[in-house]
Amino acid sequence: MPTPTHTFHDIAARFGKVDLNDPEAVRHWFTEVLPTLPPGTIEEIFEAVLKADETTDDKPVPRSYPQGVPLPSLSGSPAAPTPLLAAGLRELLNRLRGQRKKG
Amino acid sequence: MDLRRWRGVRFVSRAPTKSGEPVGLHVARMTVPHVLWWHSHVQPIIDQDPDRADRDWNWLLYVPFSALAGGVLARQPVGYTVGIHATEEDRFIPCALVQLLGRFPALDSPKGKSAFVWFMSTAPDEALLTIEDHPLTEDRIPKRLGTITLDVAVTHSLNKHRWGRTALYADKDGGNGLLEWYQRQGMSVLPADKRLPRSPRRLIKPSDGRYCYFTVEAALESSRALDSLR
Repeated sequence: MPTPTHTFHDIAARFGKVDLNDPEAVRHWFTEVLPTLPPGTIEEIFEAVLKADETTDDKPVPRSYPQGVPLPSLSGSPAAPTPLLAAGLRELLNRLRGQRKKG
Repeated sequence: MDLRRWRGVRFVSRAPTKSGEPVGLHVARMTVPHVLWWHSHVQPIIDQDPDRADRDWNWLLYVPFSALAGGVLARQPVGYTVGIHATEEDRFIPCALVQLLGRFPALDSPKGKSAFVWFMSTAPDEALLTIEDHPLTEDRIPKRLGTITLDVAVTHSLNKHRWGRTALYADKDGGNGLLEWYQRQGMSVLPADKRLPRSPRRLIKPSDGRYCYFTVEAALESSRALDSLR
């Protein structure tokens, strides 16, 4: 945690030839274009993001905020589920075996 | 036997407030409307504060990228939104966001797996006091949002066979203050001279004394400490 936003802009410009000063174009590339690329390329981009995260300076980022966005609805935000058990059945059996050995 | 290791753990469902009366919270899977609202209303206020480590963040980029890259690398990405529920008006007020990788090599156990917090952010009070269609009053602002949001990550880890192990990288922009805050939450710091477990991060973003992690015991203790709010 975390990766600066300008890193994402730089990556979109490098891999997608996107104008790094156009936040909407950068967002479009990450949400629409990137998922269509081969897994190997995505992995390469992932590594480039991490690497840039380590080396880039604190550069200014063009800011752009959507306007007039309403609050999300509660009905469209269901509670994250709590599982009955903290593990699958196989995992639980393994843990029980481990406990028995310890005992 | 500690049942917390065996049964599912509930997420926090309320937070203390200045008024003394707790406010109801709701932990939901992060959705596009949450992130859009955050970037339109909360992020502009964060961006005005030069001391915030999350200044200039753009969740509209992070979420799709984390989901995609984490999926390709089998890291089990997941995002959560912590918010206040306004049931009568069917509204949900996001107060914190956290993006995790659910499967990451544990920092304290060569064969173990851990959750990894990639991005985590809490709303400044000002953002919650100035919501046009649902302003909160000062005495109803949820307190301990940072601790609660970190607990969401620990709860995810407990519920997904990771025994509570949770790691993160403390942003350099947060300085020593941020590192100390994570330590106060019960996290250990990986010494700079200790290598990360085998993963792309070991080479690309090596240990520099800012990786923090919950051991199993520390995670359980931290989780227990919030039981009164579940």
